[in-house]
Formats: sequence, C-alpha cells, structure tokens
Amino acid sequence: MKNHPRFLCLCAFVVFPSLLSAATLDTLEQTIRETDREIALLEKEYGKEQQANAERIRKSQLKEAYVSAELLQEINQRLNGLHVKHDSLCNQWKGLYRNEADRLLGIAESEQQKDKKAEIGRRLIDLQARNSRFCPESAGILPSSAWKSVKIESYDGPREMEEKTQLLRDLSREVSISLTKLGAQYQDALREHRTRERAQEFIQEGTLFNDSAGIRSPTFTTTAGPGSAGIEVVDRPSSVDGSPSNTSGVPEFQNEANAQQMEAEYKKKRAELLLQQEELQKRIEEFSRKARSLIP
Amino acid sequence: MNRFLLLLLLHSLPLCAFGFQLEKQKLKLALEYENYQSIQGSEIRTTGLEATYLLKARGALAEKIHYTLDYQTGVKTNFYRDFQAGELSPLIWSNRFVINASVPVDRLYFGGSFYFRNKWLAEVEENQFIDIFGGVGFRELAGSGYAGWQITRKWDISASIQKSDLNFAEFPLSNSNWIGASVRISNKLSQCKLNLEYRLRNVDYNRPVFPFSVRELQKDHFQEIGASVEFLRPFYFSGGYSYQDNDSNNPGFSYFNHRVTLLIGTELTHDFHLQAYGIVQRQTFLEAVGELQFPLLLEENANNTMAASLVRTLSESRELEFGVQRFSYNSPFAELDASKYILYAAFNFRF
Repeated sequence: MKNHPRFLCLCAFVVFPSLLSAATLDTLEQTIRETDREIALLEKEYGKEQQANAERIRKSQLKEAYVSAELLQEINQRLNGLHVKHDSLCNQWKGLYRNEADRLLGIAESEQQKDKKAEIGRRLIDLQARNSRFCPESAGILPSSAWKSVKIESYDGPREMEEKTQLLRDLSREVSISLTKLGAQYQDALREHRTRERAQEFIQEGTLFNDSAGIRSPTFTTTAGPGSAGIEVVDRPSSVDGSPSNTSGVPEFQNEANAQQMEAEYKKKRAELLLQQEELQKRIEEFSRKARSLIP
Repeated sequence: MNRFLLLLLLHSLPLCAFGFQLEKQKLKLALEYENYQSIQGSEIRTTGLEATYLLKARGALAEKIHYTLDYQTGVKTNFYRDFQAGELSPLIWSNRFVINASVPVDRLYFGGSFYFRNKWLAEVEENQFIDIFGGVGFRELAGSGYAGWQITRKWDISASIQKSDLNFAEFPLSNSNWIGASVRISNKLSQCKLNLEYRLRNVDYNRPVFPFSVRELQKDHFQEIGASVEFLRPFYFSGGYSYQDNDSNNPGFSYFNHRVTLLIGTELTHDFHLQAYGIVQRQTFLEAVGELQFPLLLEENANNTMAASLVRTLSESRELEFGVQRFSYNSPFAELDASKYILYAAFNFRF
C-alpha cells in the first residue's frame, strides 16, 4: 500500500507523457520509414535505368539514350527531394529524441527501486535502438575517445562553440543511456541468476525428505528390520539433489566463473563510463563558459 | 546428540577458519498434507509440520583458493502416525552438506569436494511403515577430486574421480561403497548451455550373491551417459536425458535405465515466482538365467516424480509458498506399486 502513491506518480510522470511523445515519435518513425522505402525504390529504379541507358549508348541508340538521360535526371531530382525530406524529419526526430531521452534519464536517476529503474533502462535501450535505426547520422555515437579531439580552437566563434557544446551534450546523453543500459542489463542478469537459484533451491528442498529409496523387494512394503536382512534389497539411486551420485562430481565452475566475471566486467565498464561522463561534463562546462564569453 | 555436534562442527569450523561470507540463509516452515496409497490398499493420510534451513556461503583463502559451502537441514513430524499399514516415524531429520574448494590457474582449475548426506528416522516400537518414497534412514559420504580446463569462454572440459560410502540404518547388507570417474564437456552458447557427461563406477555391496554366504559379494559396474541443456531466457529451463547401464554379478541386478529430468523457474507478475521439476525413469531389469535367489523386481519399472510451487514475495525477507509434489512407482510386481502426493503451504524467511 505504501508504494501506491509512488506507482501513481510513476504513471503520471513516466507513462502518460511518454505515451504522448511516443505517439509523436511513432508518427515521425512511420513517415521516416515511408520516406526510406520511397528512396530505396527510386534508387533501384535509377540503377536499372542507368544500366539500360549504358546498354543503349553501347548499341548507339542515341535518341532513346537521350530520353533515358532525362528520366534519370528526373529520378535524381526526386531522390534529392526525398533526401532533404529525410534530413528534415531526422532533425525533428533528433529534437524529440533528446527531450525524451533526457526526461527518461532524469526519472531513472531519481528512481530508487531497482526494478523500475531497470524498466526505464529498457525503454531507453529501445529508444536508442530506434534512433540508430532510423537516423543513424543523428545518433551522435563516436568512439569512446573520439570526443577528446573536440577542442576549442582560437578561430571558433559563438556559433561554432554552440555546435561543439551541443555535440558534447549529445555524447554525454549517449554515455548516460549506456550507463542506464548497463545497469538494466546487470539487473536482468541478476534476476535470471536469482530465478535459476530459486529453481535449484526448490529441487533441493523437494528431495530432502522425499527421494526414492529404491526398494526392490516386495517384502518391504510393510515391515522390515535387521531380522529380515537376508533378503533386503534397498538402494539409493541417483537423484537430482546435487549429490555426487547424479553429477560428474565437478561443481558448475563455468557458471560460477561467469557470474564473477560478469560482475567484474559490469563494475569495470561502469567505472569507465562514469569517468568518461565526468570528463565530458567538465568539458561541456568549459565550452559553455567560453561560448558565453564570446557573446558580446 | 553427538551427530548433531559433529554436523555443527562440520559447518561452523570452515566458516570460522576460512572467513566464509554468508551468501544466503533460508528458513522454511511448512504445514503439509500427505497422502500415500499402494495397490495393496495401504493408505496413509496425515498432516504434519516441516522445517528446513538452508545456508550458502563462500570464501577465498589468499585470493587463490575459492570455497563454497552448501548446507541444508530439516526436521519433519506427522500429527497422525498409527495406520493399519504400519506406524509412521515420529520424527525425521535430514541433512545435506557439500563443501567445495577450487583453485583456478589461468584457464585451468583444480579442486575437491566433500559431500555428506543423511536421513535419520526416530524408531517406532513395532510394525514401522516404510514409505518407498524416502522412508529409509541412511548416511552417505562422498569425496571427489577434479580438474578442468576452460578451453575458451564457451567451451569447458572437466574430469573427476570420486569415492563414496553408503550405509543404511537398518539394512546392513545393502551397504555399499563405490569408486568412479567422470568426464564433462560444456558448451556455453549465447542463449543456452549444453553439457555432455559420461561416468562410470564400480560398486561393492555387502550383499552376498548367494544368500547366507559371504564368499562372493555383489559387485556392480555402472555406466552412464547423459546430455543436458540449460537456458535462462525467457525463463529458466534445465532439462536432460541420461542412459544408465548397470552390469552386476548378482542375478537380477543388471538393468538399464532411461532417465529424463526437467526443471523450470520463472518470475511472474505481482511478485510471484513459479518453480517446477519432473523426473521420469524407466528402469528395465534384465532377466536372469535360472531361478533368482531373491524375490526381486524384474522387467520394466516406472518411477516418476513431479513437483511445482508458487511463491509470493511479501517483502525482501518474507515469502509465502504453496506447493504440490507427486510420486508414483509402477512395476510388474504389483505389491510395490504405490503413489504419494503432498500438498503444502509454507512461510519462508530469507536472511
């Protein structure tokens, strides 16, 4: 009951606005997809026509080749128009993507419950994947150290400084998403590990009292004692309780090693990303200061 | 009392000596309803209480030797004990203890493990009812040494040698000890893990081949080959098949067995978890030439176990659990045919 107000807040601040913005992102995604489809069709048509035209020139069918060249030009113009449309849509997408990613990152940062944090992380992963799929040129993903080459030059004016700061902000956002993504993946892995442990715990508990004794003599149905030892036939066949009777006697070293390796890798990657984020923040600060000083 | 102290020492000494870190402790208190029926008309219907405690710990010595410890203990009692078929034991105490030490050296690893398992049943004055699904007291000790090689991150191969000693509280002639070896190859794919295992074992029984003679005791040569698959997504699944072949010098004890195991676990919505397992066995005893010395089971026997439980997490340390277990045994000797089911409700504490 104590969690209900938190849940309502989460609904109000995460679900509803994200539904609204998702609708806009969805509409844009649909339009970008249609534009890309048109571009692909036209490029195919252009290639086909270009091939046919080369054939006509080779056969000296000059009149037909001239008509074909005009058609090629027309296709080219249409293609250019579509590319402009795609770029404009991607710019709109980029704006919405930034807002939505920043909003989700803000919520993820303030959220205390790991499960809900992981859920927001999964939404961010999905958003980032859509961004890379539909507008790869706006994804702003540079190799981890490439942003270090973004420097303040002596000839940079306010506009250049603003562009560079924006680029660093985009990169910082991607690093934040990567951090959230990493956290969500780690939580998922922990949850899977817990589910596995629970299942194995269950079979261990289930076989603590009830494991087949392997009685093979009908005289054992009711009473047996040392007196009837002459005909006793009782065995403890292999079960699934983790005893050496049923396994090769070697513990699941690979699973243990992988769990430890996973934790170590998570900690290492997280530390790297945090360091990168810290350096990026310092640089954004520095660039913003410089940009402000350039404005008269 | 001595046994209890020994067990306490067994699990507390390594904890203190090697600085174990407790990973998990769980206490389960359950109210059970049990129904046992045999084809002869023996029927046991009783309710009872069960308490189990589980502990998992790990530690490292000089950051080189890694230890894991797994201990489980439980007591069970029945409210109704006197039945026409016999009297139930007033108290059952069951323990399982596994300690494992491994030393990884680059991609190689070496180690050893010790296993202790026992079940103790308080004696009844006369006509004790023996539940074929776990109503026999015993003590099992086993030790193994192993070596493995992680060829790549995906491939792993390991081999071990093992020795075990099994004693039954009331059936000394069925006591046995065995020495065995095994090999396992594992392949970890992106979504699942595959295991292939082979093991063999030479078992020496106290049981004579000819009744009332100790000249020749029963010796079995047991082999098993099995494959299993395990994956974590979209739910936990572990399933396997193994073929077992037992060659005995005692007529009527040679058999082959097909064994299928299944274990699943999944997290449901609203903090519910579901777990289930099943073990299906078809054991076929080879017919002996001539008349058998013992009134033994022959031909095909079916031995099945199924269980499922639903857990509701109430808080980080408290859970409510409802479960069912079903066991059945069918053979050409109708006298032993029996089935049992258990329904339980439990309160779990994790700390």
